[in-house]
Amino acid sequence: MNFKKEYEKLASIAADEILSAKGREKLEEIKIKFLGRKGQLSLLMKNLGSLEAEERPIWGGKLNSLKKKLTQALEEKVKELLDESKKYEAIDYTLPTGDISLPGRNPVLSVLEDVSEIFTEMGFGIAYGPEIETDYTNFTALNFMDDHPARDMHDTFYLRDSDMLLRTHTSPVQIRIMQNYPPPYKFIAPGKCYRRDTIDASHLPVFHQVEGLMVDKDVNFSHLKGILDEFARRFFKEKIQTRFRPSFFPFTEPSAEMDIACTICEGKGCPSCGGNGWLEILGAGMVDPEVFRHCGVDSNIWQGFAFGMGVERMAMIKYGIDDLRLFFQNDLRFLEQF
Amino acid sequence: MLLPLEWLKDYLDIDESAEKIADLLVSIGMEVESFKDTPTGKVFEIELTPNRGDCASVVGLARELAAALGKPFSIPEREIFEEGEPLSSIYNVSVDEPLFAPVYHLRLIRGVEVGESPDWLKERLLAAGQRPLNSVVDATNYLMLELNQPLHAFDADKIQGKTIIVRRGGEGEEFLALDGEKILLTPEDTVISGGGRPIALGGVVGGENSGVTDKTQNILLESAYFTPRVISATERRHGIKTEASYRFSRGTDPGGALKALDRAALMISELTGGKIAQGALSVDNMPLKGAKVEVKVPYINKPLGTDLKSSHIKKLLVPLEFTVREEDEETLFIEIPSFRGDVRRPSDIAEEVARTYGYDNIKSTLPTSSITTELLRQADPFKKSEQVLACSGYSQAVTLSLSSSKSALDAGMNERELVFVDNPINVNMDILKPSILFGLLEAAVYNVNQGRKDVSLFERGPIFRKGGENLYEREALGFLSATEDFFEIKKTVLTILEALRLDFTIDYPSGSPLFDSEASALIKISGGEIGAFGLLSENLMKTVPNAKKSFSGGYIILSELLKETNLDRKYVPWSPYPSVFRDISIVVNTSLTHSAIYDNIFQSGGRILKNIRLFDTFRNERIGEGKKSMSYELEFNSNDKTLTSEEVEVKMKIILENLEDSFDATLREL
Repeated sequence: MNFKKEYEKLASIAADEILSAKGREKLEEIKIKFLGRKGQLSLLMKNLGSLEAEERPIWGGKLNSLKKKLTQALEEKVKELLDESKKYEAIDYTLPTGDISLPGRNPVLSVLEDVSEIFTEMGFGIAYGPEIETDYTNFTALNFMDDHPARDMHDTFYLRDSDMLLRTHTSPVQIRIMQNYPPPYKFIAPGKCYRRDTIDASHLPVFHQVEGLMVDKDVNFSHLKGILDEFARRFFKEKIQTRFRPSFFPFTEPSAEMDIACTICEGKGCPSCGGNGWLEILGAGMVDPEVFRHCGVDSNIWQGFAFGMGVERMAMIKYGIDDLRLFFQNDLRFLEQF
Repeated sequence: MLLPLEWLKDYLDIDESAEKIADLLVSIGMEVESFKDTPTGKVFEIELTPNRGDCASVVGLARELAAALGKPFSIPEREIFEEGEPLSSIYNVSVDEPLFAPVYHLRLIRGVEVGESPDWLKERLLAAGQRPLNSVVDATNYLMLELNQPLHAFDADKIQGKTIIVRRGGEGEEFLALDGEKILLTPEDTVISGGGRPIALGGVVGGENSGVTDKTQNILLESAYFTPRVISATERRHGIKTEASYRFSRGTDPGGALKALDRAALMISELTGGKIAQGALSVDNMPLKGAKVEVKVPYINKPLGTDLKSSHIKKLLVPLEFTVREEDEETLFIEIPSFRGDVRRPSDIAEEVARTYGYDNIKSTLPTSSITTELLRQADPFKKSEQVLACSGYSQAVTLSLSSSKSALDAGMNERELVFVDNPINVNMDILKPSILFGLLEAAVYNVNQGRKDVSLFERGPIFRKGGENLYEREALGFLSATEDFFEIKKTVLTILEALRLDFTIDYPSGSPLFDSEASALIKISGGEIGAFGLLSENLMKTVPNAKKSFSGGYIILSELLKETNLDRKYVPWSPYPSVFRDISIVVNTSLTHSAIYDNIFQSGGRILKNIRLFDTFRNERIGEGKKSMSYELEFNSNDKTLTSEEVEVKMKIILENLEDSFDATLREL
């Protein structure tokens, strides 16, 4: 073979062929043809021996730099072809995935969880009690008079062939804890309660309540306001306006009701708040000495506050729900919004 | 109650706006529901707390308002003008049951001409929500609204005899009320009788036989203090509630009854031209009408978090007509006015101080005391079960805990186990839920009927059963899915049980009436039943009307797991050596269960057998009728070393031999 002639031929056409290759298969063929183990470049390498001894290093160097050049051209071409193929086979990233379905949650329970979390963050424990209760724990120990209307068959569910009733609030949990553990106390008691109301948009025979109790040697009314203000800030928003006004409950004295500035009209007055700018959210007060007496807690040493809120009401305010029945209907179109 | 602003002005000067007055009333515990413009001025609608009967009156609220505004308050007094024969020489009064009517007064007005009331009186009554009737009734109503003292006017000429007796009712004694309703009395009712027959159900309603009419000429006017507890019992017993009974049952002013009587007599005499007989007939068995309390100043300040001086406390209470004597800097002697029956104890005084000082003036601070309540602060051990269900696409439901006994019985539950409500709202809610699946199934069917296909719901809540005399309340977890795929529900159940790290066994079928007789199973822990799952039984499905689809579901009694769940878990290191995998395919009788094969392999495998996974099962002609092929992948591993092929082969041989011996299994040629 004519080494020099062959070299010139390869050097002149190889680069062009690489650059003009159409498609990756063609390029692969070209690669084998020129740079393969039995390709033209290797062939020339093997034929270096046919040259004069002094010419060999010169031509060897030429072959090496040609190999380098072709390899580089090949790599560039591969990249170019890849980019080109991407142009034609571009992926539509806006295509839909499979159906997304998030399971629903009942907003009463998520609010109950939010409320519980806020109080546990503030150091409150959580206590539970039975829903079937005695008249003593549900009423008497909470300082309800014997003839209090709440005890009436019209208002409270009683069980057949039994002297038990369905608790009308979660306050009996307070009694059970105080009777069984020594003070101090700091806990909330969440749970289901029952009142004999016929079902409509604003009444249900079953509802949820969170009750709280904090008792120590110097826990006072000012702390009651502090804890509940803090709760309102965390549950609603940092700049919530609150109002405490005197009220009456058999088991607290003094008693208070806490309002927040209406979340819809910001206190200006609208149909949601009955025009007065305030929404009632919970009842509270200092534990009545009579309740302590029933639980064997010395009210000369211990004092504290209790509070209670309706969870459905909190959920209604938070999510703008206007019909209580939605909470127990479990329509997936409702649950899936929470 | 309705409070006309103009009427208030009889007792104090008011130049503040109605809005300001409303805010002030709210701040002292008199909740203003609304205030309306009427032709005769603004009228507040006030929701009173049950302890403040005294404020069910214009004077009561005027007194509170004057104190809050720091303004003088007075009830315009006028002298009573009496003439003619003294009352005591005509009538007698005898209170036979002083416990029921501790204070009782009567006056006589002679020669009345009953007619229409003047416009000013009619307007005031209308503004306060009272319909005008005639001058006598209007006058008594006016005084009731003004002073919270209900009065009753008898037509004196209709009463036989001249002795009025206040006594207990006779058992079954008949009484005909003003509205014509016949009431059978009991000895727990208060009766006013004249000439041996009841003329009024004391404190509640007058009798038809002695009512005032247009023709009435002489009036016996009654003003009394009836015992609240007795009146509210009578209200409930007979199902009667009147304006009078509402007030007496909340407590009226025993010290103010006579004054109210005098004012009413004067008003009636002016409106009707009648003449008031000399003197009143009074029986007073209540020497102490307002409580006397000694209070220490710190006793008031400590629970409120305030630092009020005794002089400040005195200044707050005096405008409410409390008599306060400062014994020393620390001690106050307080006489409570007779109209405040709700204030009896030192803690009641603290409440009055807080209320009048203003809740807004008590600072809002966070407690500094750090209380540890570790005992009550336990993480929810079953939270994971809810997470598993949510991840499996189940939505969280809450249903009413009341359900129907008919459904429970139709579904095959035992009546003796049901907990019945004595006074249900309706028959569909006459028991407490005996199974967590009940309300849940209704909710699931409801959603399917709304056009949903992918209905999966779960609920965590209480269930109630009766066992002999005992009532059991337990927490349960229930879940339902609109699928007929048994293995789908089984997978959910197993995932929950694994997530709770329980050692459980499963028994097939469940035998529960709530589930299919075949496609169902029981979940057991230490041999005890803690739940069941499977396709729902036809009987259960039939309890919900319009159920067009079948459901699968299950329940777990969480309360039963409490002793089994262990939250204290320790880390276990895994083997650093590679596992060796071997497949084995056997042909067995179709009646042989996977679980039997599994247990057998497990027994033979020993400590190095870590996992048994069924990956294929089929039947075909080649392996023959009544036979099936079962293929398992077995994983071997040791914590101490890399297992050699020989060690594993030894085990595989034992496993196969035992399968052959126990089940007549044959190795399938691959």
